[in-house]
Amino acid sequence: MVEPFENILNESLERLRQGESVEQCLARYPQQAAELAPLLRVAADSQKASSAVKPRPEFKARARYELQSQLHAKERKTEPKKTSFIHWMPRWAVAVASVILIFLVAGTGTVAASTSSMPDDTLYPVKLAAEQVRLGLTRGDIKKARVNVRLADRRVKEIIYLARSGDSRRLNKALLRLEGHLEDIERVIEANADRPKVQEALIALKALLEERAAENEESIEGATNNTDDPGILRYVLERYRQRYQSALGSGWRGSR
Amino acid sequence: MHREEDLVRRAQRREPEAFGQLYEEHFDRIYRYVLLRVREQADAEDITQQVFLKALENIGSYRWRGMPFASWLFRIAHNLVVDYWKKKSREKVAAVAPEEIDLMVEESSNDPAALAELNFDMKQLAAACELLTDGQREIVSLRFAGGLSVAEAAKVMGKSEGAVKVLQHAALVKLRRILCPTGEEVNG
Repeated sequence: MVEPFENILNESLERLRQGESVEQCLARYPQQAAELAPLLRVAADSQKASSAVKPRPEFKARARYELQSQLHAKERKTEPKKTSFIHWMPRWAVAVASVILIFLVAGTGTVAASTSSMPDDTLYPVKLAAEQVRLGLTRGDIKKARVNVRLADRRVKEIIYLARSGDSRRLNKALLRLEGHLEDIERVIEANADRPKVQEALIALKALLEERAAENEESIEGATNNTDDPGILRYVLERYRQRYQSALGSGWRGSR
Repeated sequence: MHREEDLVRRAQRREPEAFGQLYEEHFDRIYRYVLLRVREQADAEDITQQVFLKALENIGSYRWRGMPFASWLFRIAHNLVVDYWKKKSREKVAAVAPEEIDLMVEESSNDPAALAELNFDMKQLAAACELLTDGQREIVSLRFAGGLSVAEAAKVMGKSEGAVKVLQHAALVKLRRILCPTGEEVNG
C-alpha cells in the first residue's frame, strides 16, 4: 500500500524537528523528494525564524516574579496557621540557629559559617533562621527596622551572586525576601511617622536606608555587566528602587 | 513514572520548584506561539503571562489522561488568543497588509540566495500567516513556533491526527506559494 504523502511529510517534519537536515530527510524519500523539498524548506525556515525570537529578559523575569508571588500568596491562603516566618523554616535550621546564637552570645565566631552562606549552600536555612531569631530578640520597631536594612543588604549580595550563577529560581525567592524586608521597614516608618518622641531615630533610620540603598544600587548596576542575563538584574534594580523609595516616602529629601 | 507527569503532580501540590521547572521548559515556546498569532510584542507578553497565571490557577483540574501537559498549556494559550481577537474585532483585510506581503515576496524572488534559503524573519512569517485560513495558521503556529508534535497539536485543536496532517500539508503548500510565488521550486 502506498503511504499517503501527508504521512511522509509529517515523518520528515518530525525528523527536521529533531535536528535532521532537509537533505537527510529528502534522502529517505527519493521518490517524493521533488514534492517534499519546497515544503521542508519552508518548514525549516519557519522553525528557524521563530526560534530566533526570544522573550525580553526583563519581561521573562517580571513574569516569573509575578507567578512566584501568586504561588506564595496561594500557599499563604492554604496555610493560615503559619503566621510566623520561623514556622516554615526547617526545624533543624531553627535548632541549629538557636545553638549558634547561644555561641554568638557567648562571643564565639561559629555564626560566621552560616552568615556567609549563599542560597545554594546547605547552611543557608540556618542563616535565615538565625536572622529571624535575631529579629525576634531585637526590641523596638525602629531597631528591628535597622536590622531589616542590614538583612536587605545581604539579600542584595545573594541576588548578585545568584544572577552570576544563573540561578533564576533562587534569585526570585531572594527578591521576594528582599521586598519583605523593605516592606517591614516601610510599615515601621509609616506607623511611627506621627510620633514626636521617635523622630530622631526615624530620621537616622531613613538616612541609613538611603545610604545603604545608594551603595546597593551601585552594586546591582555594576553586576549587570558581569552576568549573562543583565535583564533580570535591571528588573531587580527597578523593584528595589520602587520599594525603598516607597519606604522613604515622598516627603523625604535625603540626608546628604 | 514519566518525568513530566511527576513534575506536574508536584506542581499540583503547589511545589514552587516544580512549577518553576514547567515554566522554564514551556515559557519561550508559548511566547513564540502567541507572538506569531497576535504579532504585537506587548500583547504577546501580556497573553503569555496570563497563560501561566491561568495554568497556576487551574493546574489542580489538569488530568494526565491522554492530554500531554504541553497540549493543555497551549490550549490555554489558544483560548486566550481567540479571546484576544474577539476583543479586537479584527478586520482581516486591515491586518493582512497585502502590500507588505507583496514587497516581501518581490524581495525574496529577486534574490537567488534568498530563494535557496528563504531567510524570512518572524515578522514576515506572521504577515504570511495572515493569508492562511484560521486552521492553517493555528497548525503553523503550534508546530513551528510552539514546537509541538502533530499528536500534541491535534489535542490542542481538538482534531484527529490525520486531519491535522492534511491541514499541515495544505498550510505548507500555501505558505510556500506566499513566500516564493514564482512557481519555480527551490531545491537548494
